[in-house]
Amino acid sequence: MAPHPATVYQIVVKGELDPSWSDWLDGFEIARGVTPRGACTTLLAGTISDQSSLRGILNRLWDLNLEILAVNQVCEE
Amino acid sequence: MMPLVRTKLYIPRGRQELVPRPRLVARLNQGLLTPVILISGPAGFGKTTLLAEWIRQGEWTPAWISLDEGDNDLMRFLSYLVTALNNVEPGVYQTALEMLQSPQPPPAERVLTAVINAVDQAHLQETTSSYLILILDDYHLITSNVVHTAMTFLIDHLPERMRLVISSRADPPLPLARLRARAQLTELRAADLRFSMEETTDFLNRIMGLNLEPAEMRALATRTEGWAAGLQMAAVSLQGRADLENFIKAFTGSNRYILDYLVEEVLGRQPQHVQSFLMKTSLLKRLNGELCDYLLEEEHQPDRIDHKLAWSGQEILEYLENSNLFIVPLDDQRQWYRYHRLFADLLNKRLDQTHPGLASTLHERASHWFECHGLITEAVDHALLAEDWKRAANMIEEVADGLLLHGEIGTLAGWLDRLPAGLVRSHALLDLYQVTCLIFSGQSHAAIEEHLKRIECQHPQRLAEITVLRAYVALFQAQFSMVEELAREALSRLPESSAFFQSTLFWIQGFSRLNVEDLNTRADLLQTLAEKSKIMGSLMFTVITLCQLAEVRMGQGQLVQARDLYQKALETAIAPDESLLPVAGQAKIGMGHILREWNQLDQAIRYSEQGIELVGKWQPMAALDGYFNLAWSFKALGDAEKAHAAIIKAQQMAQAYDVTEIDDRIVAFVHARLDFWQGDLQAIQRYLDEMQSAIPLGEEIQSEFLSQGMRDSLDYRMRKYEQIALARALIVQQQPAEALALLDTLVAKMREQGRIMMLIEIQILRAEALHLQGDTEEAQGTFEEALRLAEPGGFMRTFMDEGPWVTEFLQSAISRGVCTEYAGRVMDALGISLPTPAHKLVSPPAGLVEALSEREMQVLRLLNSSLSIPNIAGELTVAVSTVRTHVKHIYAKLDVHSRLEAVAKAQELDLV
Repeated sequence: MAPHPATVYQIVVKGELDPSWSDWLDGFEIARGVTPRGACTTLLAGTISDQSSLRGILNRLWDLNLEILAVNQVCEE
Repeated sequence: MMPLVRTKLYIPRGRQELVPRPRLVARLNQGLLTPVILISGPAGFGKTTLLAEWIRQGEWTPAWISLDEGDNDLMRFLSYLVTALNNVEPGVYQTALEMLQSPQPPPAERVLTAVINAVDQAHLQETTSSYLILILDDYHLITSNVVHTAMTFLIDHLPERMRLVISSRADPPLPLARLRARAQLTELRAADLRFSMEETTDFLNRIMGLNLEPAEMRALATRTEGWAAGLQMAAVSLQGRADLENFIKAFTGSNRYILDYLVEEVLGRQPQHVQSFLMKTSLLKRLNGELCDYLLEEEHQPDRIDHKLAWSGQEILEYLENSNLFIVPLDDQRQWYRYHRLFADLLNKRLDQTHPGLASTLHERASHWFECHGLITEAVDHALLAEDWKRAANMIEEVADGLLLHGEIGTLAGWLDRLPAGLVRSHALLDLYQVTCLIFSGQSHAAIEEHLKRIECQHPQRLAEITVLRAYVALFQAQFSMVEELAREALSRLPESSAFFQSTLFWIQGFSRLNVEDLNTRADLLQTLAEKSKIMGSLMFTVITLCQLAEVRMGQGQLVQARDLYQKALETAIAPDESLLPVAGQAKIGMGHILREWNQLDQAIRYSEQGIELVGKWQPMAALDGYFNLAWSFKALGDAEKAHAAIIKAQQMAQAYDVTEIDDRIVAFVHARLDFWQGDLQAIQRYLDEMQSAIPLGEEIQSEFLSQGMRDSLDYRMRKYEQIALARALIVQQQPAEALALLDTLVAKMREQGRIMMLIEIQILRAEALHLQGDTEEAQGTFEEALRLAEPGGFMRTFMDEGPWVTEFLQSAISRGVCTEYAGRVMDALGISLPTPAHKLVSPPAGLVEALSEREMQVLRLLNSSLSIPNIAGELTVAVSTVRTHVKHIYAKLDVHSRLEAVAKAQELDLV
């Protein structure tokens, strides 16, 4: 299996997270979002090298008791 | 063993300022009716606090373990488990404790079984609760499968008076579904753990004294969603604040991550030096005043005016504890604390933001402090986090010996993996330790040798240790004379200081000497080894040694003694609750072999099958002998298909196991012999051709046999078996002279080496060959020698398998008065009735194949009464389930199916 290039993931958590958290979360970019119902969310987007590092980020979010709403892999053209 | 950290076993004290949660405590008390309680909820939900409250109210003392990542090392985990239990019930768990302190780490199941037994038999003296409660906090930190497996074992065998409480942030990979289905699990989940409106009100107004309006209360409850950590922070933020209303408005109106918001609030209101303290010490897993002072030492500048205002580490800790801020006490003496994980993360992050790069320095200081205080595990952890590789490497080198001796491979391997590869390679010992870990974790021997070669090149001064490891690998490959050579070499050069390598060497030597060809010597060595291993306290080693000794006795023709040794092995490998440990499988298979020889074929099959199943969990390759037993047993019963199936299974196993060729060769050999017996007369020759194991006939044989160079080769060890097989083939092909040539060379050697079992077979064949040649008298004489050799052991199938021609010889022997009773028995088994009615037909040896253990005898005697099973359990003060297991085994051993039958049989055999 050929090694594939770094993949982009998008994670959505409930509530507002400061951009200052970016470093703590492996440099993921942090942006505001909103659910269809109008609840505040935070979009985190960044590249991961492998599934283990994704796991690491999810664990960190989980350790802070943040509710994870979505995790998506974003395919690049 | 790395010293245990006492604070991990410290039961957290409930704090008075916290909200009582009676509904949850009631749930927990109710939960004691089920064997397992699971508290599963994310960080900050107050799981530990709840448990502390429950314990405080319960007036009983649990066994408590605060788990951390280090507990993924199975040995450490077990050590903490047993110690925690021992703290609650001192003196009860001696056996388990001793096991853990022995040089050879026992399998987890063995330790847990000892614990389970101890629980069953102990009587609590001074507590009102009848339960023994084991609480594991932070179970989500356990990721190791072997620990999960051990826990599953514990759950599956949980004694009736024991209760297991697991607190975790996520559902653990344990058999929860099964427990749920059987209503054996009580769960408290996030929804349960959330603060209700009532509890929120109680907390904020009554305990924190805030006096909020209902609307404000509701707003806060909604914003925090009943999350304990959030509520607590909110309360702290609100305390001492003049303008509550505005704060609450701002707070509840914001969507910002609640902890971010609140922690910033709370932090911002702390004095500067406390803020600094919090951030910098947050990277410690546990902290005390002295350590904190040391960590922050560079901060103290004696010239600064406000130095007098700065508090000491201890003072700050007590302040934080009293203010209910961020930290949790780990003992009663206000000595050790730790940060609530949630806040540690937050503070860590702030540290990185405000002082980038400082963390590394702080880790280093922490590492120094721990090292000075002899707390090496933590010193290493911090050194690794500081990426101070050199220091970490040095410390690891110091403690590695101890870790290896006590089987804490996981810890050591984990540390070594975190060091840069280049560094490990430049440190000879570390490199060696890493390779040792690889050997233990089953890496291929070819790869290991590559590593060893590399190390030899780089660090020739470590040849002694390298040699020990080579000897170890050679032992696995059954290259025994090489092992001995290497061991001798290593011994002469090994520095005294290296405890691990020294004791490995001792063990290797013990085992390697075993493959001396002379069985009498081997038996003596094994006796000594068996005694030594008892002293070393290694149970598995004792069982293996007993099995080896039994095998030697078999070879010496002493079948009854062999049977007794296997019996002893089975009794040693059994816990009083009669669950057999996997290593016992070898004894079962050995028994199967003996039973087959005694023509008790159904029993032989049963034992072999049981043995195969058991060894699967210990050392799958040991099952090969079991399959061979099965093949020969089925053949004797005339079931060619099943015999063939068994061999195919063996073949598949051998092919799958890549590490050595020995097994493939042996399987091929047995296969060839089986085919030969079933009519394929060329099978043996074909096998020899394939193996290119040409057996020269004539003079060449003598010299080759004596050639030392071949001593340890597979060829050499297989040679005698192959010669015999070939001789048999030659006889069938009407070439008795050639057959005799082969066999004659073996006779003296086999006698010399005490290999009676082989000698019997050889003499029988020689008798046949001689008879073919027309040397009738010599033939009869030879046959009779075989009889005499075989009589003490009661060999049956060795004669029976040869075919109907033996009856003539047996008859002659009887008429000449040689071993009449024994020969008669063999005739009997062959289904031949004797022509002279004057001869008594003696029935085959009656009695039990496998003797009853003492416990079983006790139960059996009580079965011979009107007591019900529960009453018997009461009499013997064991659990009912235990008695039922004993009964099951008794029925099996007596070969009966009911209590009545059992009693009848017992009376018949004079057991009761």
